[in-house]
Amino acid sequence: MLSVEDTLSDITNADILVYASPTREDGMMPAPTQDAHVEAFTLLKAIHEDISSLFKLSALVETATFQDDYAIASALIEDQAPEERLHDWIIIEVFPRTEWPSWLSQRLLRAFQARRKYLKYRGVHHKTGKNPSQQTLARRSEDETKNEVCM
Amino acid sequence: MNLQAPSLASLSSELLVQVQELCLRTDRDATELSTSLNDASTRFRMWGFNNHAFQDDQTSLEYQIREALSLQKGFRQRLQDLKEDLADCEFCTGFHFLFLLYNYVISGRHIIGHH
Repeated sequence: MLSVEDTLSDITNADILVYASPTREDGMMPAPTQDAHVEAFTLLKAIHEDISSLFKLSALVETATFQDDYAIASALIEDQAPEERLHDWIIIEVFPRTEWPSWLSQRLLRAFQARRKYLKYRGVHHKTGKNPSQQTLARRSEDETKNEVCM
Repeated sequence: MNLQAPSLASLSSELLVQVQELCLRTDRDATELSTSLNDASTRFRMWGFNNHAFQDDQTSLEYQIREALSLQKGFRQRLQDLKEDLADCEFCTGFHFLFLLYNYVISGRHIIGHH
């Protein structure tokens, strides 16, 4: 009859690997699967880095193609209204205050002129359809309005 | 521009499909890997839709940078890198699930052994 000691002495290392459960602490995990586990996370990190660099490049595009609508309007539109008339109108009619620092009135006048030019520019280009992204946005808002009406 | 190279829109769309398929494969197990992959998928979709990368018309990213060859090259290079990483990850996830299955079976044996 076999004793317990005899049975135990028959167990080989291969049997231990097959039947016993190696733990992470023992460092006995089969190498290929553990490597794949680590590699999958390394690759995921690389994927996130790739996407981050796409975001960074896109930010560069936005910076490079940024256009100030006010600057475009001021270059394209000529305001026919005389400056003095505008000045009188702003200072006397819109903001009837007695004490105006000159720098403030000048600044207000410049802002007012820029706004007038911008509004004229938008008025001129409203239906020319030169800006496709604006058209897309307009189409989207129309669709949304239709959907809201349908609901 | 190299006419033989795929357009940025087709490359981006192909990657979107690839990353979504990978997410579907890993979604069966709610692991750290699948969560991180879902995050990557969301971030890529956000990038693509915000920058019109999946479009092929005059609002597209490719049209915006049609004059900037270095930028085109940069985008193409990064998209190719992402494609390679996704392909490698797809290959690795097979082994990863083998690893999870192995742990699952082993821990099951532990429990059975204790009882």
